Order: sequence, then structure tokens, then C-alpha cells
Amino acid sequence: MNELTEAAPFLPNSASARDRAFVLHPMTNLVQHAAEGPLIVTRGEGIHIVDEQGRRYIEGVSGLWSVTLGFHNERLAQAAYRQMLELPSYHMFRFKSHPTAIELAERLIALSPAPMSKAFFANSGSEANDTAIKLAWYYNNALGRRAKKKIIARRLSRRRHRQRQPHGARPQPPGFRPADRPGPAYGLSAPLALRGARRKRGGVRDAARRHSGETDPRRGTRDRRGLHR
Amino acid sequence: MGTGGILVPPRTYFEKIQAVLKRHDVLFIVDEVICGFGRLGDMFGCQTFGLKPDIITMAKGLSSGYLPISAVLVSEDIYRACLEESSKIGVFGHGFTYSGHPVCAAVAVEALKIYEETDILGQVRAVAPLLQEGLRGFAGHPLVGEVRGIGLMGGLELVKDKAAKTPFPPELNLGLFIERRCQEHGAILRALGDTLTAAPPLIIEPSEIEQILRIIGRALDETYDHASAEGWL
Repeated sequence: MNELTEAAPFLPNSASARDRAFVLHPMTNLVQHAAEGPLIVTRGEGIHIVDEQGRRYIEGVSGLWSVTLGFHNERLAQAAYRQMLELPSYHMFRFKSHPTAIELAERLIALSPAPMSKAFFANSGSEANDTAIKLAWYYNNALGRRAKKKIIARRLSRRRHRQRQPHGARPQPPGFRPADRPGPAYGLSAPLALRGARRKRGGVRDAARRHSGETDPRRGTRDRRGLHR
Repeated sequence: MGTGGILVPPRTYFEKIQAVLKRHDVLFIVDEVICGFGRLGDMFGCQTFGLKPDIITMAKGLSSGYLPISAVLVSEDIYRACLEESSKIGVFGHGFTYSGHPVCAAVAVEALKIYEETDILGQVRAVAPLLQEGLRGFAGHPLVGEVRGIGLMGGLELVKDKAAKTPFPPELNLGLFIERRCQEHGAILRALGDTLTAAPPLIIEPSEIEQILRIIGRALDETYDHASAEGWL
């Protein structure tokens, strides 16, 4: 034990206590988390996860919708290991590339459900969607349509959710003109039978009308809540 | 739509939306982050719903969630516009340090091979009806206002009044209650608002789907008893 730890008045020693002492959790009620602590997952077996007490759970939501092949796939582990030994890291900026990214892009273009030309890589779905929006603006800028910046997403969607998160003050990269800040975003009613569009407000017809900016005779004008970020 | 509570578009929804987009020359971005790579029984949700996007985003199943990687596929028109801008500005000024990281890309390539070699779509199509029929079996439960789902994703929306479809006040957090009951019985499921959702790994066995359904049934009853005892019904 060194001087630092001896000097500390309290050293949390369970994983749960250490978590609460040091981790700021995403998408979590922090008050409830501080009171109750997390479920600490230590291992995966097929479609199961195992917690620190050795309890097994069926992971019925694939983590965050992602773990399609279960939590113990040897082939994926070996693929990572082989690549780690061969070329563990490199980038794709300024005329650099590497065979694995090339192969992935080629496969994705071949697999694509609609004709596509190129694949751009990022690290998360959120980054991919931010990129898609920037590209839509970039495309319209290139065509001289600089005012065409509105984004239409369905209410409750992940995209809308991202629009509400703080985007920070990242400087505009070259090529993205200063006007390309998160712009007006329209919330299109989601097709949710219990709460809205489909049943109560005419659903698709209504959504399509608002989408096109046409007026709704029953409500007077475009969706009142539509224009907000 | 996944995170919004598993909202399956009604038939012709996207057909109509796409016609409006075309008429007004609006680009169509399809987010395949959740639906891509087999979740609905097709490789992409675009195939299930007949979508013709200009841009597709994908992540999650791309690497089976093992490493962080996502991709944006762009049409030839969009690529042409980028090319044009590069000729004026000199650079396509967008990218991340780890764009196309080799280890993430290697795992993604391997995942794509596994999907193909193990006929993951056949597997999903074989087991998905068990989940969908099983969830629809709860439609008569007094707490269940609606059952939604397609492929290997589905949800039960809990309501206070089944006939009027009145939701519970959000501050009661009934969704979290039922999620915790499921966890207690050995299944990690997620409540999105008051919609209890399931979206298991695509390799799930029929017996494991049955197990999830049994746990949901038990948790529903316990949640009903809890809501009754608290006077929330």
C-alpha cells in the first residue's frame, strides 16, 4: 500500500461502490444509480450474460440491439486477434488506406439493398447519422441550394433524440460552410397507434401532408410543434 | 423505429413518404443501425419495407457489437457532389481518427462472413414467428394496450386502461418496474417508456424464446399485482 492509498479516508472496495465513486453513466437516472448501483456484468456465454455474483441472464435485447451473434463468438475474437498482430491501427486520412477497410467497403456496397457508390466509416451509429446529415447539407451546398437545410425525422426516433443532445461547439471542418450548424428540424409524427398519428390524426395521410408542408384543413397550419430543435 | 418503442410502419407508410420526398427533391436517409444485418429477417429493413434511400447508415450488427464501427453508404449522386466540392475546396473535410479502424473492420468483415455462411436470415425467419406469436399471446392481458413487433424485435406497451388505451403517468416508471422483474427472473429486457421490448441475439434457440416469454408472463402478472396494490389501476 502506498502513501496515497493510506492517506485516503475511504477506499471503496466493491465494484459497485467503485463504479458509483468514479463512473458517470450514459442514459441513466443518476440519483437512482447512486442509490442502487449497477448490475455488473462480467462474462458472456452464448446469448447469456453472467453478473459478478455468477447469476446468468438471457440477454433478451442484444445489449443495445447490437450483439447479433451472442456473447462468445470465437471467430470474431480470432479475427480481431489476427488483425491486431498484422496491423493493429491505422487511419484513412489523406490518401492512406488498408486492405481490411477496403474489403469491408467492397462487401457493404455489394450487400447494399439500394445502389450505392461509396462507404464512409465511423465509430457509432450516432456518428454515422451525424455524417449522413452533414452529407445531405454538403450535397445541397454543392448544388447551390444553400438554404436547403431542414431535417425531417419522426418524433421519438433516435435521430430526433440526437438533435436534442448538446452538439458542443466543434469547429466547422473545411467544406462545411458556417451555415451548416444543426438547423431547423421537423418532427414528423411517428406511426404510433396508441398515442397519435395512425389512429387519431389521420396517420400516414396527415404525416405525408405535414411532411410536404401542405396545410391540414383540420388543424389549420403545419404542425405547431414541428419547428424546434 | 426501435428506440421510440418499436413502432412498425403501417403498410404503405413509406411508400407514401417516399413519393412526397421525391416530389420535393428531398434526400432520403435510412437508418439501418437497428434493423440492418438480419434483425427483421431480411439483410436490411430497406428490403422489408421497400425503401430506396440516397444514404444508408449502419452500425451495431455490422460488427455484432463486438467493436465500435459504423458505415455510411452514399449514392453515386452524393459522391459526385462531394467530388465536385473537392475540386473547388481541395478536401473532403470530414472524418474521424478511427474511421475504418483495421481491427473493427476485420471483425465486421468476419461478422458478414458468418451471417452468410450460417444463413443467419434463414435462422431469423425460422425463430421470429415464435417471438411474434408469443408476444401477441399477451394481447389479452389487462396491462397490455398494444403488442408491436416484426422479425426478432417486439414490444408490449403497458396501459392503465386497456379499453381507452390510457397510459400510466410517466413518473410511476412502471416500465422500469417490469424490466426489473424480468431481470429478477433471469432475462435482460428493456422498457422504452412503458413498452417492454425484446430484441434477442439472432442466434437465439426456440427454447430460449420460450424462456423469455415465460419470464415476461410472470413479470406482467407481478407488475399488474403491484399496480393494483399501489392503486394505480
